Amino acid sequence: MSAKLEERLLTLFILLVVLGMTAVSTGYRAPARLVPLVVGVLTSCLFLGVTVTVFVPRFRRRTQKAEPIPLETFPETWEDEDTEQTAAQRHSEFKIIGSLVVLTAVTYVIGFLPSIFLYVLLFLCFQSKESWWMALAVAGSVLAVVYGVFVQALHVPLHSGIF
Amino acid sequence: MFDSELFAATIGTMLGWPGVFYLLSGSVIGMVFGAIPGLSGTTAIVVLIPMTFGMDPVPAMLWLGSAYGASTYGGAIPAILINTPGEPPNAATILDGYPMARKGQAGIALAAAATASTLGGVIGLLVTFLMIPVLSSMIMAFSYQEFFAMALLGLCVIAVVGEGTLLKGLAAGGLGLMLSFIGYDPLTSVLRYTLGIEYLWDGIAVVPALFGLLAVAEITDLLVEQKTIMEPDVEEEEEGQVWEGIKVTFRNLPLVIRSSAVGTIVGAIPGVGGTVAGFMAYMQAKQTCKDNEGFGKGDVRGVIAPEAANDAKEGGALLPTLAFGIPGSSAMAVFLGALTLHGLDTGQDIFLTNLDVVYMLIVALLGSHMVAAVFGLSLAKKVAILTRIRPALYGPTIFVVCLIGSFALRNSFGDVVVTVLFGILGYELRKFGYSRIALILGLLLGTMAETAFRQSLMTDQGMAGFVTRPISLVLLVLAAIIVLAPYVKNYLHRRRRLVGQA
Repeated sequence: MSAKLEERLLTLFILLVVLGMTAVSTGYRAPARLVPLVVGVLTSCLFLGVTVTVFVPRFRRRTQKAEPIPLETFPETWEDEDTEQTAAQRHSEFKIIGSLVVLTAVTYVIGFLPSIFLYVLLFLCFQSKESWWMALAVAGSVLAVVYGVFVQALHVPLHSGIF
Repeated sequence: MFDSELFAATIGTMLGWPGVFYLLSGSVIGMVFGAIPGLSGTTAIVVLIPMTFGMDPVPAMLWLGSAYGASTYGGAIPAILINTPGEPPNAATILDGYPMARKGQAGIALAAAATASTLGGVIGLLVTFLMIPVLSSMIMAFSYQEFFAMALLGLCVIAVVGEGTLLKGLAAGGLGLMLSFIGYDPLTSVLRYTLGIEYLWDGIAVVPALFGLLAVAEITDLLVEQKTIMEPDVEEEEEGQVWEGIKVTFRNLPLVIRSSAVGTIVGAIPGVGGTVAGFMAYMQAKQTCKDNEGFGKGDVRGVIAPEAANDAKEGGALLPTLAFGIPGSSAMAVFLGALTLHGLDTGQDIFLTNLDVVYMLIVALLGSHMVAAVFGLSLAKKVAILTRIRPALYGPTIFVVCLIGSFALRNSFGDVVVTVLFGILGYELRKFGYSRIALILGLLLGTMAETAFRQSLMTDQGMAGFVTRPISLVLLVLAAIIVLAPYVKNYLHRRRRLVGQA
């Protein structure tokens, strides 16, 4: 998937969310819907504008020139619209975001302490390509600090899993 | 009213034994709590309060005050180094602090933050003392209309933050506002946008969302791009950064004073919140400083202004807490609880019968700012090394700390899920040039703006109140100027260029 397509999908997704929220707000009682409705309509208009600039390159260039605030540095996406992210980057993106989602799910099942140890260990070994010894040392240190600060000192009842 | 002998004796107590121990240990604890995302100065006080039960009120206040005073600087460290504010009031520091770190100027930014924090703290307390005669009338002058105008002014920062295009910035701000409406309607208790999920009844927790949007998104980007925080083509100046940070802060002393005044006034108004102080100070810096094109790209003045305001606001918040028993911030509410636990009453009584406690709180805040500055300046160079380490080494640790920090806030696993979801959203927004700060501002100020707006409509004055009340009118005019200024400037610039060509 190219960066351009990804951006279009993101913009459309947010636009649909905002439109949906605006539509839903019409069903609330009068005082509760006033501000969400007004903000929702305005935000929908803004995202419609963004959608137009994302889908029609001519408008994108125009807004870029007209706006007083310079663009953030993400040059490959803006300067050359057809540029695709490298396969390696895309792969890495999926792996990192995927690992975060898996970490959350695993934490829910087995609890914080075992899951953070495993996550740091496996991440350092397989993603960062560190040696097992280094990974073990870092994962152990993180576990010790988390246990010392949050469990022992602050008495935070860390989630311990569903079993 | 001012008892110079007692004040001197209080300073003597702080610098004697065991006073100096409470000052140093409290300051270190405060800095550590401020620097760890998820913890805060308020958490530090909450943790320390049980340990003060057996203590006299004066050393207890010294310990608690020291911990709180140093925590605000602690929050600036992750804001500058990993684009994540240790506490929400440090959010404005990331606008220029993080770009400075990327340019290899983390040492300058950290040193400037430490110096500005100390100066801001001292000025805040001094301004507070000077304001005692007019403070009560000033606080009373603030009503719903003014609260709304303040929130609107805070939202106007969206127009001046330099991430992404203006259209996308405004859209992201709108999205943030929409997300802030999730949960119970504050005035009618109608459930809005909760999709039947019980967790959403209280709305989206701001701090976990902040961790996701900033820390998780930023670290994900660094890991994907496989780059260090400091940009690879930048050569860091090894020597003199700390000294340069101190010098540049003193060179901008008028800015420090202005920002501290903003912080003190905002801090003294209960209910406005410290985050507004940082953003308002940033905005006034951008509007009033010459050569402001560098703001948002790593201008040290963008670090000095919010940091000075952040620490000054604590001085401002202290006085209404002590004088009227009205806490100016969440931390002051906890302080109020601590005073009650030690059998102390607020209001006129505390100034008549326990003036030593009041003085101790003030000197503890002053002393902790000094200690934080010394620690901050001596550690700045060492801490800045993080910007040169491969993110693959510390990235997973930061993810883990963010998730546990989110959980620790309310012991809710839902907050962990919010952090991850907002992390993914933040990464995508960052990638395609949407302003995450605008979204955060909307999320932070949405509830306050909506509540104040609707409460204003319920008053006798209705809509007219916004323009008939002088403070509200001034704030609204300021907001309009801030939004329109870039366009007017652009128009004038284009006109001058056309005239020049002709």
